Amino acid sequence: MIPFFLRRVGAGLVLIVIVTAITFFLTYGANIPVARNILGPTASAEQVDILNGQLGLNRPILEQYFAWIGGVLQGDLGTSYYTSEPVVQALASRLPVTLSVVLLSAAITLIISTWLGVVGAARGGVVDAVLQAFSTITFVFPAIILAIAMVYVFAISLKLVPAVGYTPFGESPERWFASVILPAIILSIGGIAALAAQIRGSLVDELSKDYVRTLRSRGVSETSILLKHALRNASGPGFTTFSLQFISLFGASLFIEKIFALPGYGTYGFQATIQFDLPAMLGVTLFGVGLVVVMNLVIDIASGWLNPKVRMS
Amino acid sequence: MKSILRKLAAVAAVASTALAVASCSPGSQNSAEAAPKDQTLHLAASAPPGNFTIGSWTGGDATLFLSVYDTLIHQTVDGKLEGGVAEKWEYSDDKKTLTLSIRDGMKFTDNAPVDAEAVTASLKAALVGPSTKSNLSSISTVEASDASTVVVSLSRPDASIIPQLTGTPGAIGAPGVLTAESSKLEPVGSGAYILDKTKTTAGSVYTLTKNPDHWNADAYPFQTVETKIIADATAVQNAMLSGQLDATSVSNMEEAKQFPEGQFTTGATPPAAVGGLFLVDRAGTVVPALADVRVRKAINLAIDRESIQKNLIGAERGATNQMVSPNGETFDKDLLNEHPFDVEQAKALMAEAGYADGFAVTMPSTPISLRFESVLSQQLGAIGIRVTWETVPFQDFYAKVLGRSYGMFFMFNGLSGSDALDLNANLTGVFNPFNTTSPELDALRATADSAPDSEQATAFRAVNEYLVKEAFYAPIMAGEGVYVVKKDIQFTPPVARGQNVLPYQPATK
Repeated sequence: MIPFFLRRVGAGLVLIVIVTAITFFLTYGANIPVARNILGPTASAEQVDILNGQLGLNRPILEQYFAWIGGVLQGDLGTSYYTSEPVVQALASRLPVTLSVVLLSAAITLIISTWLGVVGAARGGVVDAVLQAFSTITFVFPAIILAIAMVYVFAISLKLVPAVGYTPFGESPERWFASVILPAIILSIGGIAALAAQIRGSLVDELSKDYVRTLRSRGVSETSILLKHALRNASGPGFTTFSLQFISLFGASLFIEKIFALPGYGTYGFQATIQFDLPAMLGVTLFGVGLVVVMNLVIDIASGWLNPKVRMS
Repeated sequence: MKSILRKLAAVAAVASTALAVASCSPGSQNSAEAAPKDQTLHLAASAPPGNFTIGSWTGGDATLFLSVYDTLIHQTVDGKLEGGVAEKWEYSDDKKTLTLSIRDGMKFTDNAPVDAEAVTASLKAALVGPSTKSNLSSISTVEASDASTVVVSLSRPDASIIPQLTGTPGAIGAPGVLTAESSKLEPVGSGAYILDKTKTTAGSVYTLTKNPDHWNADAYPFQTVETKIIADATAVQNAMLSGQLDATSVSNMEEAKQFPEGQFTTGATPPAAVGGLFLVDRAGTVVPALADVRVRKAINLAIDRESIQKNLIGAERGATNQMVSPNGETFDKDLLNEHPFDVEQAKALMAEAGYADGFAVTMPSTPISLRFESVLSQQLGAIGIRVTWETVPFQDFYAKVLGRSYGMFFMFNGLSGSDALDLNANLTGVFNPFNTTSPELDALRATADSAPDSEQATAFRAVNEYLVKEAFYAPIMAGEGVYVVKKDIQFTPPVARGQNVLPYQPATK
C-alpha cells in the first residue's frame, strides 16, 4: 500500500509542477502590459516603468519563474496586483466561502440522489419513471433560470435570504445558512440527476444478484436487504461519480458565486483571470490542481483499499 | 486588465457614474442629525480597490481612498473649490509658487499631527508614485516653510494642479506609514472614515467607520459605510431590489424602470464621459490623410451625432462636438455649429484635400467600440473612408495605441469635473500617442495655465475652440448617467467624480 501511495503522490506532484509551469509561461510570457493596464490610459511611460519595477515584471521570465517557485516552497504565492493582498491569505479567506457552498451542495446532492436512486430501484414502475423524469428535467433545466427564479422568489419577494453576500458561520450560523442555502441548492441541481441514475442502476444490478435472493429466502427484511446489503455493494460506482462531481462543484462554484456575489474561490479566480492578475491566477491554478490531485489520491487510495487489484495495477 | 474594465466601465457606458462622488461644503449639506447614530450606508463597487498607498491608488472609483484620506483641497458637489487639509491656498503672481496654509488641530488616526511636515511627506510620495507622478509633473519642489505652511514650486504655471489636489494626488497620509508595506491594505489617514480591518475582507467587502476626530465630522452622518465588491450587474440589481444596497447606477432611464418608484429615487448625473473618434495621427505618420485638417473636418462633418445618440444610446440630448463637459465653463454652445452633419460638404473637403476617392483606415475593435462600429463604418464610408475594424483584446489596447498602431480609434474618456484636467487628459498618454501639438496650441495652453482665475475660463475656451476648429477629435456624445437610491437616502449628483461619500445623506422626512 505504501509504494502505491508514494507513486500516486509523486505523480500528483509532477502534475502540479507541469500545470503550474505551463500556466506561468503562458501568462507571464504573454507580454501582457500589466502595469499599463493597472495605471490606465493617461499614465506616462515612466510611470509604467516604475510600476513594472515594483511588480518585478522587468526581470527575465526565468528569473521570475524561479522566484515564484522559491516563494511557493516557502508558502508565499505572491501578492495580488489589484488588491495588494497576499494570494495565500486571499485563498485562505475565500476557501471557507466556497467550501460552505460546495459541502452543503454535496450533502444535498448525496441525500436526494440516494433517496431518488433507492426509491426508483426499489419501487420500480410508475414511481421509478416519475423520478427518472424528474431527474432528467432537473438535469436539462438551465441552472441560470432556476437561479434567477429562486433569487426573485426567496430573496427579493419573500426576503427570506439575502440576494448577495456571505456571512461567516462564526458570525451567525443562521445568517451563514441563509447566505449559502440558495447557491448550494442551485449548484446541486445538475449533479442530482447523474448521481441518482448511477445509484439506481447499480442498485438494480445488485438487487438482481444471487446473494439478494439468498437473503430474501432467509427472511431478511426488504429494507435491510436494500439499505444494509445492496446499497453498500452498489455504492462503489456511486462513490466514484460523487467524487468526480465534488471536484466539478469547485468549477461550477465560479458561476454560482458570481450570481450571488459570494467572495469565494470561484469569484477570486474569475476576477484574477479577467484582470490578468498573474500571481492570483497562478495561486488559483496551483490550488485547483492541488485539489484535483488530492481528491484523486483519496479516490485511488479508497479504491485501492477496497480492491487489491487496483493496488497491484 | 480589470483596470481597463474599471476605467471603461466608469467612462464608456456614457451613463454609469452615479456612485462616483464629490465632497462638498459642510454648509451645503443636509442636516447630519437626520441620520440615526448607527445608520449604515451600503454601497457596491464593481472592482476592489487596488492599493491604499499614497501615490499608488489605481482605478476609477476612489470613494474608499478619499474617505480614509483627506485631500488638500475639496471640490463641492457643484464643482466649487473649498479648503480641506489646506484651509487656504494662494498663488504667486507668476503662478509658479503655490502656498498652502494647513488647517490647525488635525491629526491622523495614529494620532500623529497633520502638519506641514506631514503634508510635504505625502506630496513628495505622490510626486514619485506610479499613479500620481504624471499628474503632478509640473511640481518641482515641495517644502514646509513653517509648521502650518507648505510651499509648492512649479516649473511652469499649471492650472490643473489645484483640481489634482482635490483628488487622489492631493491625499494626505500619516508620514509614519507612507511607504510601509502595510499601507497597501491598512491606510492611516485623517479622512472622514477609518477602514475597519476587523470587518473588511480585501477584494470582497470594505467597511468604513466614522472618524470622530475629522475636522468636518458633522457633515458625515453615516456611522458606517459598507462597500461590497460586486462585479456582476444582475447581482447588484438583485441586491438593490432585496434591500441590501442603498445606491447604484444604471445606463439609462429605461433600465431604471426596474426599480419600483415607491422604493427608489432615480435621477440623472452630470455627463461622465465624452465618446468619439480620437484622430490622433495628426502628423500623418500611419494614416497620411489625417495630417490634413480638411480630412479631419470631413470626418467630423460625416458623423450624424444626433442620430447615433438617439438610436444607439437612446437619449434625446448629449450629442456634442467638444471633448469637455457640456456643464463646464469651457464648453461653448456657439461651437456646436462647427462641423454639423453635412455629407456633401464633407465630400467636398475630401476632394479638396486630394482624397476624392477616400482612403482606407484600420481602427481597433474593442467591446467599447463594438456597438458603434457598424454605424461609423457606414457614415465614414459615405465619404469614401473604408474602415477595417481589427479586433484587439482589452489587455493589448493601450499598448497597441501607444505603439502607434492606429491613426484613429473610437473610445470614451472620463470627465473629471475640471475642464483643465480633461483638456490635459485628452492630450496625454493613450489619447495623444503621437504627441501631437502645435506652437499655437502650446501658446494657448500656456496662456490658460498662467491666466488669473478670473480669465481662466476664457483662456480655456480658446484652447477648446482651437481643438474643435483644428478637428483634433471627432467627438460624438457626452452622456448622462442615471443614479438609483433607496428612498431613505438622498443623493446629490456631484460634478466631479471620484470623491468621497459626502453626496450621500439620509433623506429628510
